[in-house]
Amino acid sequence: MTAFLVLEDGAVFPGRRIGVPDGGAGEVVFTTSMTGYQEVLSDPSYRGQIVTMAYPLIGNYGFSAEAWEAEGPHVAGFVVRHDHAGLDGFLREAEVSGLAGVDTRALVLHLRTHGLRRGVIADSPGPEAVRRAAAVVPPGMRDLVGEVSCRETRRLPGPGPRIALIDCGVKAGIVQALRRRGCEVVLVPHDAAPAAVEALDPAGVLVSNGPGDPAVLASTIATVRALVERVPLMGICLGHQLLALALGGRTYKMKFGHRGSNQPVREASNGRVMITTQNHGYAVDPALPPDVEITHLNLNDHTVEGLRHRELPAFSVQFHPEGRPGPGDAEELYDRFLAMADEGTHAGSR
Amino acid sequence: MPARADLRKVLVIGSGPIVIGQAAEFDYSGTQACRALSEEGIEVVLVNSNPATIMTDVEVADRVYVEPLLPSFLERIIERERPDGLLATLGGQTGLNLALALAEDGVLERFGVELLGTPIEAIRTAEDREKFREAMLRLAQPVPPGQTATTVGACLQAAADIGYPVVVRPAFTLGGTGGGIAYSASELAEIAGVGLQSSPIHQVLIERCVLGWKEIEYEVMRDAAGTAITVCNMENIDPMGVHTGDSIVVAPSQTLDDIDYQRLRTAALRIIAGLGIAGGCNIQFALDPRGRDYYVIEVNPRVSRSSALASKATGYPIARTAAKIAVGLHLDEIRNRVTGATTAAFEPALDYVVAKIPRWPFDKFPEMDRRLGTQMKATGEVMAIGRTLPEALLKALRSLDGPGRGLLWPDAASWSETELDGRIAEPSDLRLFAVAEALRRGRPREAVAARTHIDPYFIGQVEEIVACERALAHGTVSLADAKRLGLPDAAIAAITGEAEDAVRARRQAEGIRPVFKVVDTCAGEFPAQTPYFYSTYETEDEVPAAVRPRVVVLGSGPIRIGQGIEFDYATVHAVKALREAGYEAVIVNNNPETVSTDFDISDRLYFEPLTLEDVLHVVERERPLGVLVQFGGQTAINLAGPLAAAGVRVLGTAVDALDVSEDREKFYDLLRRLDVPCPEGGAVTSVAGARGLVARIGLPVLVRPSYVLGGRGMEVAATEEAAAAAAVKALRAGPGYPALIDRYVAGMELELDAIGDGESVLIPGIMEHVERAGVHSGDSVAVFPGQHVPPSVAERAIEIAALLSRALGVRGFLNVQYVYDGRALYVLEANLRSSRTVPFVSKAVGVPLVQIATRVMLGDALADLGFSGVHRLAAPPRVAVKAPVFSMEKLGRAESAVGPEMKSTGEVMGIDADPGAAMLKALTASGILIRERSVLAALADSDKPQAGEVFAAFARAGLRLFATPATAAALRAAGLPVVDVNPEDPFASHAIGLVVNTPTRGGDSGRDGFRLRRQALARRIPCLTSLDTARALAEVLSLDPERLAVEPLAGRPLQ
Ligand SMILES: Nc1ncnc2c1ncn2[C@@H]1O[C@H](COP(=O)(O)OP(=O)(O)O)[C@@H](O)[C@H]1O
Ligand SMILES: Nc1ncnc2c1ncn2[C@@H]1O[C@H](COP(=O)(O)OP(=O)(O)O)[C@@H](O)[C@H]1O
Ligand SMILES: [Mg+2]
Ligand SMILES: [Mg+2]
Repeated sequence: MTAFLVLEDGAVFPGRRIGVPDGGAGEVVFTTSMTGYQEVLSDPSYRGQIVTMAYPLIGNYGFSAEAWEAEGPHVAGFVVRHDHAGLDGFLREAEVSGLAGVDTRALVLHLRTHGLRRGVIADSPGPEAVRRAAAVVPPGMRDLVGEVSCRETRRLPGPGPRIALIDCGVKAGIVQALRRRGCEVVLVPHDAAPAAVEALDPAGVLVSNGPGDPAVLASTIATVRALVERVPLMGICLGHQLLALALGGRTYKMKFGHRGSNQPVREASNGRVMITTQNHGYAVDPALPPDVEITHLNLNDHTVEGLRHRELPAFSVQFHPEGRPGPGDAEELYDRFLAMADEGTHAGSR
Repeated sequence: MPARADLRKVLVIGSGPIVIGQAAEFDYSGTQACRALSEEGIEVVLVNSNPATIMTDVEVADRVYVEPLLPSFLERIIERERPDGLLATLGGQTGLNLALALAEDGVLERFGVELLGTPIEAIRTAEDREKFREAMLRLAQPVPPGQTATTVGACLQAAADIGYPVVVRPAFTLGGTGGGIAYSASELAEIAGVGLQSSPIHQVLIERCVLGWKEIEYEVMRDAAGTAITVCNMENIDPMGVHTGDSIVVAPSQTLDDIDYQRLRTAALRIIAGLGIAGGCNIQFALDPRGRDYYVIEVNPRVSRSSALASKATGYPIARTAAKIAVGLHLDEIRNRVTGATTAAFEPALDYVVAKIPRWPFDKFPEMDRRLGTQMKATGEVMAIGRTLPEALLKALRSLDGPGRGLLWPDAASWSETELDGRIAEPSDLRLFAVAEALRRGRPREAVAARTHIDPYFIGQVEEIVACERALAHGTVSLADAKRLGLPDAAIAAITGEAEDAVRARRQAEGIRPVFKVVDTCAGEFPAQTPYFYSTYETEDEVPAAVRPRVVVLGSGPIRIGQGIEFDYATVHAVKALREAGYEAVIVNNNPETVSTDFDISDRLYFEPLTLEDVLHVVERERPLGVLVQFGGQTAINLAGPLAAAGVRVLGTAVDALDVSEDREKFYDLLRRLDVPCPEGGAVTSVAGARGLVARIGLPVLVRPSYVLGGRGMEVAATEEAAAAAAVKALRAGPGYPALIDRYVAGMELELDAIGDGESVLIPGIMEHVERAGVHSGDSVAVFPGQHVPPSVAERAIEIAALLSRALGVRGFLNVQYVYDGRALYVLEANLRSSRTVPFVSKAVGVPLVQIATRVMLGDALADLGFSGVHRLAAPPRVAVKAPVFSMEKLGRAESAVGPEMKSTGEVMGIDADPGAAMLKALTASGILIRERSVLAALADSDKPQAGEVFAAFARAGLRLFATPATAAALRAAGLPVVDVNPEDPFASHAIGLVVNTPTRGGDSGRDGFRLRRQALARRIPCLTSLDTARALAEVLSLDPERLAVEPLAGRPLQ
C-alpha cells in the first residue's frame, strides 16, 4: 500500500508500507553502512529515529541471532529503497513500521543539504501529516536514554577484571568485546549514583553509547565527573560526549551527524588512519580545558573523534571500536582500556 | 609526507598487447598512473608495445617508447633514460614479470633504478604459489589443502593425497592460463602437463577443489605508513570454479552479512600488511556458503582487471592512488577528486549496485567450447549501475550488444528439458539466460540454486525479472513498474508483441523516463564534484545544468575480437578535441576497463548501455548539438540510422552515406558508377544460385553470410564443391539472408585511413599488408608506409579514396581496403568510421588524426587546419610495422590459422628507421621469440612452390630445417638440407624453435595440421600460418635483436 515519509519542512517521499501498518514518527537520519541492517535496527542509539538506509538493497542475506545489538529493534521507523523478501515480516514481528521503494538517495541529499528533519510515515501526504511531523518531540526533550538503559544492575560473570558499564543504551557488541577479553561486566543504570558504582569496586568504568543529546543527562554527567577522579574510565560515542562534558567541555548538535561504517579517523600520536563505525548526531566542541587532549580527529570534517585526560586514566572515542556493523580496525582500544584499568588497580594497591 | 624529492624520473611499464586476461584495464590504470606522477612534477618515461593505447600518446608521458616488452629492450631504455625509479605494478602480469626479470638480471641494481611501490619480495611471494602458501600460513590465513609441484608425477602424487577433484593453478600466469579442474588422474596428467609448460617457472599448485563456494574479491590499498583500506568488495554470482574474469560479478557483495563481510575485510587488511604491499592489491577468497569457513585463493599484488572494475564501480581511482603511494604519498595526503573535500583514506559507500558481465568470443568461434572454467575466455566485459540488482543486470545484459533481449535468449524456448538442465548445470555464456528460462518453465528457485550452486538470493533476483515478464504478458503490471524493474523497451516489446518504438511512444505519452544519479563514492554524504552519471527510474534527477554547448560521443562498449581498444583510443581523442574546441564532451559507454570511462576524461560520463533506448535518454537529458558515431566502432555506427530516424543530429558524414558503405550491394553499385574496380560477385539464396555465380565469376571465391561483420564466417573456396559447401554454411549461418560470393582476388592487400571534409582529403599514407589478401586486415602484419607499393598503385589508391570521399560526402573518417593483383587495384570495402588502424597510423605519422577528424565533424574545413586539396602527409622518418597478437591458447578447440575471419585480440607496433628492424621489433613484440635455432615446416600444396626461397632465408639465418614428409620433399627438391619429422608428434624427438604450418583446410580438427598448431601452442612455440609472414620473418632473422636501437615516439602537434 502506498504511504509517504513526510518531513516537518513539507518534503514528501512516496513509498510502500512495510512492517506494521501504523506509527513511524521521529527524527529522520541516514546511515551509509552497506551491510548490517539488523545491527542498525537494534542499535539503541537509534532510539526515537527513523533510519534511512542509503544502500538500496536491504534484507538480502536474511537475519541471524548473532546480529542483534539489543533484545529487539529500537528504530522508530525504517526507510529503504528495495526490501528483500523477509524484511517486511521481520519488521512486523518487531513492530517497526517501515517504508520501501523510496528514492532514498533523494532523501539523503535532502537531509544532507537541509540538516536532519523530524518526520512521520503517513498514509497521506497532506498538511496534517506535516503538522504531525513538526509535533514529534525533539530528541533533546525526551528521556531517550531512560528508555533504553537497564533498570537495575546486571552482572555478567567473567574470570578477568570487573568492569562497571554505565548503560546508556549499550550495544551488545561492546559487552561482547569486553567479555571476549575475559572481563566481568556489571551493567549499571545510567542514573546510578557514583557511590553505587564505586561500591562495585570496578577495575574500570566504561560509559556506553546511547541515543539523544548528552547535555541533558545531568546525573550521568555528574556520575562520570565523580568517577573519573577515582577509576580508570573509557567512553564510547555518547559516553565520549559525556566524558567531555564531565571534564568541562561542550557538545553541539551536528547538521546531519555521522552514521556509517566508513568514517576515517586519524590518531594524532602516530598519524595512522583507521576506518571506523559511527552513529552520532552530537559532537564534542574542540575547545576543551587544557588538561584534556584531543587524541583522534575525523579526517573528513576534522570533528573531535577521541580525547584523553592528561593526568587521569580516562579516554574516550566518538566511534565504535567494535564495529557491528562495520570494521574492527580500532578494536585494540579495548585492550588499551583494560591495560589502563590494570595499571589503575596496581596503582591503587600500592 | 609529500612525494619523494629524490624521484625525478620514473619509468612506467605498460602491459603490451591486448590478450585474454590482460586487456584495456591496463591502459586505464597506466594512463592514470602517468598522469598522477606528472601531477607530482615527476618526469615520466613510458614503455609499451601496444600502439592502440592512450598511454602511448606522446602527451601522456614525457617520453614514450613503443618497443618490445622484453628485458633486453627495457635494459637499453633504462640505460638511455637513467630513471630513478621503476613502476611495474600497473602493467599487469607483463609488467610484474618484466620487473622480476630486470631485478634478477641485476639490471635495476646496475643502473641504480629503485623498484617503486610494492617490493620485489612481496611480488614474488604473491605470484609464487609455494611462497604464497607459506606466507598465508605465517599470517594464520587458511588456504585450501594443496601442494605445489614441478613435475606431472608430483602433481599426481599431490592429487592422490588431496583427493579428486583438484584444481591445477600455474604460477606467474594470468587469466588462469594452463589451469583447470581435474576429476581423475588421466585428466590431471593432461592438464598438469600444459599447466607446467605455461608457467614461466614450471610450477603449478595442486589444490583441493572448493567448487561451488562463494568467490569474493576485495580491492585493498595500503600506504608506506601502514594505513590500509578496502576500496570495495565484489561477489561473483558464478561461484568458485569459474574464473573471476569469466564470472558475472556484483559490487558490493550481496549475500554476505556484516560478520562475514568484516571477517574477510580484516583478513584482507592483515594480508596486505603481512605481504608489505605499498599500493593496491586484489585478494580473492572462497567462502563456504554453508558455514563461516573461508580460504584465501590468491593475491594479485598489482592493479588488475578487478581494480579497474572496482574503480569504476566506486569512483575511487585505485591506479592513481597506487601511483601516488609508490612515490611516497600517504593515503590521507591524496585528495578524493570526487568530493574535493575528503581524502583517499576512506572506504567508498555505494548507494547503487553494480553488475559486470564478461563478453566472450563464442560468436566468432562457433566451434569453440562454450563452457567456462578456471581458464579465462572473455575478451572484455561490460558494467552497469542500477538502484536494484535486476536493473543493473538488465542494463549489463543489453550492454553486451548480443542477440539477447533482456533475459530472453532467442532460441531458449526451444531448448529441451535435458538441454536446459545441462545449460544451468554447466557454466557458460548462456547460463544466466538458461536460469531465467528454467524459472520461466516453473522450476523452483531452490532447485535451480542447488543445480547451479548460485546463491538463492541471485536466483530470486532473476525470478523477479521473470515474474515481471509474466505479468507483462498478462497485462497485470504497469509499464512504469516494468521500467522501474529495469526491463528494456526491446524486451517489453518482445513480450507484448508491440514494436519497440511503440513501447517508447507509450512511455513518452505516460511521461515514463529515467532520471540520472551521481556516482559519488560516499552515498550522498558529501556533495560530489564528479560528472559521473547512471540512469534509474526514481524521482530526483541530479544532472546539473550545462554551461557550454554539448556533443555526445558514443563509445564502443566491451572489447571483443574485431572491436578492440583502438576504438576507445578514438573516443578519448574525440573528447579531447571537443574540449579544446570549447564544447562539453559527453561520453556514453559501458566498458569498465577503458580510459574513456574514467570520470575525469570527459565533461560528463554516462555509464550506460549503448542501445537506442539508453542513448536517446542521454540525448533527451543533455540536448546536445549532435552525436559523434564514427569513433565507437560498429556499435556506434549501427546506432547512427536509428538515432537519425529518432530526430537526433548525427555529426559528420551523413547517415545515408554511412548506409551505402555498410550495405554491400549499394556500395558495389557506387563503385561501378565511379568505375572503380571491385571483385566481381553477388548475393545468392540457394546452392544452385551459388554454382551459377561461381561459374560466371570463376574460382577461387570468397563466401560469407551477408548479415555479419568482422569477416565472420568467411571462407575462401578453391573448387566449385568447396564453394557450394561454403554457400550452404553461409546460408545456414544467417537464415533468411543471402550468402555473398565474391571472386577471390589473390594479391597484395593495401589499406588506408583518410579524413575528408567533403572538399579536401587528408591522406596520412598507405599501409601494405605482409600477408596476401585472404588474411583479415585485422590479423595481417601491416607496414606503414608500404615499402613495396608501386608509385602508380599508391597514386591510384589515393585517387580512389578521394573519389569515394567526395562521392559519399565524407565528413570525418574513411577507411579503404584494397587488393592489388599485379594488374588492377580492387576495392574490397570502405568503412566510414575511425578504423582499427587509426591509432597505429596516428602514432606512425605522429599526427592526432582523430582530433583532426573531430574538428572536421564539428564543421572546420581541412584547409583551415592546413590540409587542402588531396593532401598526402610526408612519409615519416621511421617505418612502423603493426603485428597482430592472438590469444589462441585460451580458446580451446578454435582454429588458430589466420584467414579472412579476424581472430587476433591485440596488436603491437615496431618502429625503426630501418624497415627490417621495425619488422623484427614488431614480430618479436608480438611474441614470436625463437628459443631454438630451428624451424619446422608443414605446408599446404599451394604454398610448396614458394617454399624454397622462404626456407632458404631461414637456413641463411642459421635455422635448422625440419619438415613433414611431403614438405620435406619439396624443400629438398629446392636444394635445402632438411630433416624429416613424424607429423604425429614432431616435438618429442626434436627441439623446434618455430613452426610454419599453412593449412590446407582450416578448422578441421581431425587433420595433422590442426593438431600440429595446437601442439605448438601448448608448447608456447611460435606458429606462423601464412607463408607471407614466414617470409617477412625469415628476411629479418639475420638481424640481431640485441642490437636494435630504442627511440622515443615523436609527435607533431596539431596546428
Ligand atoms: N581451490 C579452488 N577450488 C575451486 N576453484 C578454484 C580454486 N582455486 C582457484 N579456483 C578458480 O580458478 C579461478 C582462477 O584461478 P587463479 O589462480 O586465481 O587464476 P589467475 O591467477 O589467473 O586469476 C579462480 O577465479 C577460481 O574461480
Ligand atoms: N574478394 C576478395 N578477394 C580476396 N580477399 C578478400 C576479398 N574480400 C575480402 N577479402 C579478405 O577478407 C578480409 C576481410 O574482408 P572484409 O570485407 O574487410 O571484412 P570486414 O568487414 O570484417 O573487414 C579482408 O581483409 C581481405 O583480406
Ligand atoms: Mg592471478
Ligand atoms: Mg584470480
